[in-house]
Amino acid sequence: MIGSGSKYCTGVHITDDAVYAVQMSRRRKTISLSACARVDLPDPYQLPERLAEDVDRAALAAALRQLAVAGVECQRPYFGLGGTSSFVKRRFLIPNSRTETREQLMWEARQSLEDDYDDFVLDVLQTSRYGFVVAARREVLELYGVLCRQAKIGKPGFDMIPFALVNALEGGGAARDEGSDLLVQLEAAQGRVVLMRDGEFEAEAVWDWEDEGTAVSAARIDLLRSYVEGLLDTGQGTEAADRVWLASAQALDAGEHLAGLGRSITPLDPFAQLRRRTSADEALEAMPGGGAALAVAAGLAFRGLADV
Amino acid sequence: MAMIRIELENDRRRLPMYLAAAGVIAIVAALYGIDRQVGLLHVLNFDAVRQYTGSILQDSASTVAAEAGHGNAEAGDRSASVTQSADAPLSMTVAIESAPVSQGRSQPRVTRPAVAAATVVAQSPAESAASTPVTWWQTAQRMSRRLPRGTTVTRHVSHADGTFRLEGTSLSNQHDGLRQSVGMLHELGLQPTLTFWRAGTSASTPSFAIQGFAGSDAPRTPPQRASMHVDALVHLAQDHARTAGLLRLSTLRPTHETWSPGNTRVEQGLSAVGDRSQVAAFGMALASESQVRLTSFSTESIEGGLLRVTASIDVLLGKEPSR
Repeated sequence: MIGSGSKYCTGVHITDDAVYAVQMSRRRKTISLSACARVDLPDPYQLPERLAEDVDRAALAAALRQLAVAGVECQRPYFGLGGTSSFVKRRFLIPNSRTETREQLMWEARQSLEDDYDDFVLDVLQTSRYGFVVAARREVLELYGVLCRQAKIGKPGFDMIPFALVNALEGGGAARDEGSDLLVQLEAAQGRVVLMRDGEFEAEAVWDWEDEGTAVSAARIDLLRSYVEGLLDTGQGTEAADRVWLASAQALDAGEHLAGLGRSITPLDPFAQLRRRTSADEALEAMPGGGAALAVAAGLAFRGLADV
Repeated sequence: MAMIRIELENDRRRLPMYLAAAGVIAIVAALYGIDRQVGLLHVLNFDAVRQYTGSILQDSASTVAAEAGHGNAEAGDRSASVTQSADAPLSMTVAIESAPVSQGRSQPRVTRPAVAAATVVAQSPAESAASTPVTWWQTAQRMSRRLPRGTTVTRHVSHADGTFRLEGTSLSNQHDGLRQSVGMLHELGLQPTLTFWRAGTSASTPSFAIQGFAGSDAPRTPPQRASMHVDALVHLAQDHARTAGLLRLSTLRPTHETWSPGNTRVEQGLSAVGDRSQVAAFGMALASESQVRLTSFSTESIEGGLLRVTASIDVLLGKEPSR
């Protein structure tokens, strides 16, 4: 790797029951899939709460070390943030002034967070329609740093999971500048839907399942549909998304039940336009859910490569 | 379309080294210069120190008085203006204003004029153009923190008119502590009433309810709109609930009330479930919403450490909305 002239980044997505990792490389403008892997976690894992527990963090560090055995190196790991460690808050734009919008949103965030302000790392995302305040708890970011030291991998970088999904769509070459895209990412304990409009992030819904278990039950489908309909509600009724993308193994199982919510329903393949190493291709073939299961990790890796 | 690239670097903000060094040098140089000219002992005016210390105590007492009068129950309320005697050697005015979260922008300012009057004035919400309409909600949410440890609050209702009600359970041996807490609320002028009762069998934990009036800086009238789609209120509340991550959203039937000739007040309720932080985020978003007014906010403990929140918002329409 050293001296090859390639830049590397590894997206690491920790779900309730497994760690998904995607290592990508970039040489000039060509991005390649170098390696990918899934490592099962011994117990259901809830982030970020359990990062603070020494025993749980040690178990996670062990899982991260196993990635190297599977051929995934993590010199530059990027982790996805969600749950109680972070939030994305949609606000407004000040017309024709990105600087003023940023200042206004940061000022608002300071007022809202009050005494907790210094506990958060903040940034702003601006699209053509909205401004978003993005916040992550410092304590959690520090815990990820501790985790990486325990796992003997590189210093962590971070992105929000909904943004990673958007970047996976973009990196996979499936993003369009017009119409609406809905990204559906379901895990054992949690569901997430991200709405994009005209190629831009617009909204996200995240929820915990009300029942135990991992199967796609009728109750889960009802809950998923209610959140999708909520996102697609224009105020004058629910519109169908132009494209629905299934971005996890469980989302693939739920896809057939989403009829009527999208004009097309397709598994998200973030690697569709990438060169792949043979070993990575084989790992991808064996991966339950294929590329869709690695969507978040791929989006994180795309994001990390944009920095180098 | 471009890739989203936010930056979440975990670098703690620190005072730049050169500024810190400059500050230390300035202090050392100033002390050295003063000591060379008059000697440090001459600089220390003990009368001034005593008066200054006294004024701090006075400020504390006045803050309590201000809380009692206006319901701004938290010490250090940002709409308080504190001034001191013209004779006081260390005169100081502190005026920190906070604007509504989603409207305009004002930065806290601290000024130190040479002369000031010997009064302590807390601006009433009506007098302060910059007072924030969320203070009543924040104050109400902090009310339960005034109760003694071991008290379990199961229901908390606060209204924009400043009234509040706390319900919960408390073991008999904690009742004295609860009475003391209510006594403190009484001293703050919150007009609390405390009721105990035991529901069901005699073995059950006694319940209590505290009602009172905490004052309010919420708008007295709803925001006025020329017209509004009938579902807009629902969607606005739902958007905030979803953004906060609340689940099990259900909307209540809106009420329509003739407010004045040609004006209709429409009130919409929404109920949802979430954890404490999600409920707080939802309440803060509604309380700071400029398009509508938050009229009531109640939370109730349910299973799994979660809360059921019920909130009502209202708006004043210039004409009857389309149904």
